[in-house]
Amino acid sequence: MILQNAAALSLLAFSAAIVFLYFLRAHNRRYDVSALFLWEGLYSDPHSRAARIRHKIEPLLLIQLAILALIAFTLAAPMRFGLATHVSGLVIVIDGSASMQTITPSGKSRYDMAREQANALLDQYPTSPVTLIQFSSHPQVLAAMGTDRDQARRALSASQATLFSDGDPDTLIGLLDGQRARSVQERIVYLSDRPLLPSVPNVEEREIAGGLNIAITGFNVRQDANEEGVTAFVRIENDSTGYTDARVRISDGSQQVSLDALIPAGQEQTYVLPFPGSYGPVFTATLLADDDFPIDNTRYFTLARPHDRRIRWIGEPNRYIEAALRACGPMALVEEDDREPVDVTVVYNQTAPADVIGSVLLVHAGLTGAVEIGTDEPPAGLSVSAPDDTLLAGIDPFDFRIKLSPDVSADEEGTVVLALGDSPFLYYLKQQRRQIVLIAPDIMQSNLPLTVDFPVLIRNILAMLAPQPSPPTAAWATVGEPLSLAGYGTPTELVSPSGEHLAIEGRAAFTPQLPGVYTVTTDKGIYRLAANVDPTESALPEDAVAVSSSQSEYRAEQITIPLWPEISLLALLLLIIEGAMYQGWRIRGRRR
Amino acid sequence: MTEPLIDEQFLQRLARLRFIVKGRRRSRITGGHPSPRAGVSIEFADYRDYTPGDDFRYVDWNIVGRLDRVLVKTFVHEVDLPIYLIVDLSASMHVGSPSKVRYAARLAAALAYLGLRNLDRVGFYPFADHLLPAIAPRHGMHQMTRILNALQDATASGRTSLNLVLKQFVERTREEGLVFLISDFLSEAGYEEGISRLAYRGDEVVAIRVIEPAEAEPVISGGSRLIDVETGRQLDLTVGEKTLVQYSRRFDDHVAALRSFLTAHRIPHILAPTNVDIEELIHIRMRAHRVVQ
Repeated sequence: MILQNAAALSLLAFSAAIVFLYFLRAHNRRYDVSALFLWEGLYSDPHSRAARIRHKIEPLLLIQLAILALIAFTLAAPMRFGLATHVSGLVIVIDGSASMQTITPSGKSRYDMAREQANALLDQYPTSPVTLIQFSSHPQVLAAMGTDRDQARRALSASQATLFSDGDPDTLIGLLDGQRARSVQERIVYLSDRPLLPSVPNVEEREIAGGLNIAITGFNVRQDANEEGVTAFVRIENDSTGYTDARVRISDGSQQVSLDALIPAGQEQTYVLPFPGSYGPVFTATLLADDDFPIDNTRYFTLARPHDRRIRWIGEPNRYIEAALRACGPMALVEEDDREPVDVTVVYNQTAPADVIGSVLLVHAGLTGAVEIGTDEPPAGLSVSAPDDTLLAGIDPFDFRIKLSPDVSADEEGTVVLALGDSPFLYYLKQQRRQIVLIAPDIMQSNLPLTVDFPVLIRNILAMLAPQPSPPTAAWATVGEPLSLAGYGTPTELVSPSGEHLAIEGRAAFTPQLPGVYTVTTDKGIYRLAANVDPTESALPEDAVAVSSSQSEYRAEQITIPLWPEISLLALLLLIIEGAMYQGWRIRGRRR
Repeated sequence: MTEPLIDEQFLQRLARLRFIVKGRRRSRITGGHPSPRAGVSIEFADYRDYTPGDDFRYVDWNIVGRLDRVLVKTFVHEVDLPIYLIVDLSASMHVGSPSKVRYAARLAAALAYLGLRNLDRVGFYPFADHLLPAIAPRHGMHQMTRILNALQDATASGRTSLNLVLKQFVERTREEGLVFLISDFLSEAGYEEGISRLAYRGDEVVAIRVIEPAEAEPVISGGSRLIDVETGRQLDLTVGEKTLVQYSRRFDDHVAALRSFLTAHRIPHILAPTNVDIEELIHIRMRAHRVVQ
């Protein structure tokens, strides 16, 4: 504490005057008596006054002296040191990821506690402009800088924790920069149950902890090799303080298997459950345990069964090519005259008409208007024109031996992957509505059918011409993460786990908002896709959220705060007390 | 809201008490107090010779058999006795905390209850420098309500003029009775004449002197201006220990004078300091003076 005007303390000298005047006070004190006639004619005792003054210090005198001292102290302008209650900007970032829904021992969710801390910060800086950000994999600015404070409070109280994953610190940096935050004059507070890794400079992290969790952190189902059922894999994590006797039930909607598991505290264990007779395709794993974050007690999984590739064959049959095609997955051959749409048209040893719809694989074949092949001749040496092309993935082309190869005339827009002298050996052309791949030599005039690379080459070609949907459930589709529908065909309908029909037409991806099973209908069939809350939300951070304000580079400004209002108030209070006491004495004196 | 004068528990503890009336009283109304006349009650009084017209039921046939004289039994005639509560509401009664007037009101309420519960008629006569509007003696608990309301609203003002007031009282009430005179007796004009009137009429008087402890031992010191709450007169006095000793002596003399006067008239004198509980006053002090039993 400092005194800006210490000279004012000299006013304390007046206390001597008060004491002096007090002792010299001439007037008599008033007393009301019932019968004055009893007092009349009594002996007056002049010596008693001095005795009373000597032995009795009146509270009123002490109060008056205190008031004088307080006034002198007020005029001395005392100041105390404190931290600023105003910053040029206050940015509150609240973790809105799924784990913030965890219920703490107080009965409130972590998000509720974060909200309370945010409100306390708003109270602490009543005049500073405020920015509120709800941060997750889908961050949201609840209140931009400069928003009316009441509006910001309303937005804060209306916000809820999401089902999304943790946000990326880089995203946060981008957001803060976008809000023109991160200067040292601004205070940025991050309220979360886990630290930012890596930490963001100038961001003060505050821990919101509490709540125990037992979670299914992994769930997968695979079809048995004998196709007589499936096998489920479940990983359970016990983030509580003691052993947990958890029961896991896996259901395909009609049958179920269950498992009792005793899991030590802080441990994660994986279990394999045979599920004979089940073919899914939708599986639900349910953990029967009492914990504070129940969202991860249910996980979903779907077995995606690939649809048959429809292939139209034009030209002579060739069992090597057909075997290689079948090795790539289920396929259905469509007659040449059948006008149904197909995934790929294979042309062998023939020139196909120009009106072939869709992608085309030409094997020693031409396509009117695009590729022409000439007569077979002994080829020149094999050269690789595009060694990194995906068509050559897993292939050693120098194992190929070509006896005869035709001269090829093809659109120069295309890509020559392998060449035999000047003539293409492996070539592809991407047109607006289709792709054309050419294997120029007659495979029967080469060793291709005998090489192990031939089926691989055909698989690569099919992957280019007619990609199958990669099994989406090989890894979990995560709530909040975009899920690609490539390979599923053209989507026409999407139904959420809650039964809501979502707009999907013309979109190549969608973002699941809820955990559960989504049903996608495309022109190729109906697919069920499982989405779950990110399992990283289930686990407590390893270092028990050892975040602290030490990471913060925020420099709280030390300021001096005047004390005169409080002291003046105290002096006024004493003045009122003195007045009341004086009046009280007068009244009491009258009663006597 | 004003604190109630009495509560239910207090009244229940008073219920077993009754007033003691010394001597026999004249009244035309039958009641619970003995009369000089013989009458009908269960309390035997005497025998007398039979005269024609006497009720045969009162002939004592055992005496007739033994003495061969026809005698009839006579019984104590019990009459109703009015109870007068004369309460001082002068300004001097306003002094103290609780004030003397408040204490007197509580005491009067308790005595009124006691009287009404014993089926006596109770009247309330407040006074200051003259007799204030009174409540004439009546029976029943409705009377209690009337007296309580009057006591609840009682405020002290004016001077004490006991002689005048008691004169007015005797003139206004023609029936003798049990008179409770509740006052601080700090009347500069005196009280002797008034009390003598009461005694002369045959009233059974009980004098209750309400005092504030600070009156007996005032906490006054130094240069003081003493103001009489009744007259407004002022007196400047430097109060020291000697002054207080002198005052105490004078106050004690005043009390002693009253006591000797009352004793001379066989009137019980009960001191009622306001720091003494009303129950203690009634159960101990008034019992000691044989006012209640």
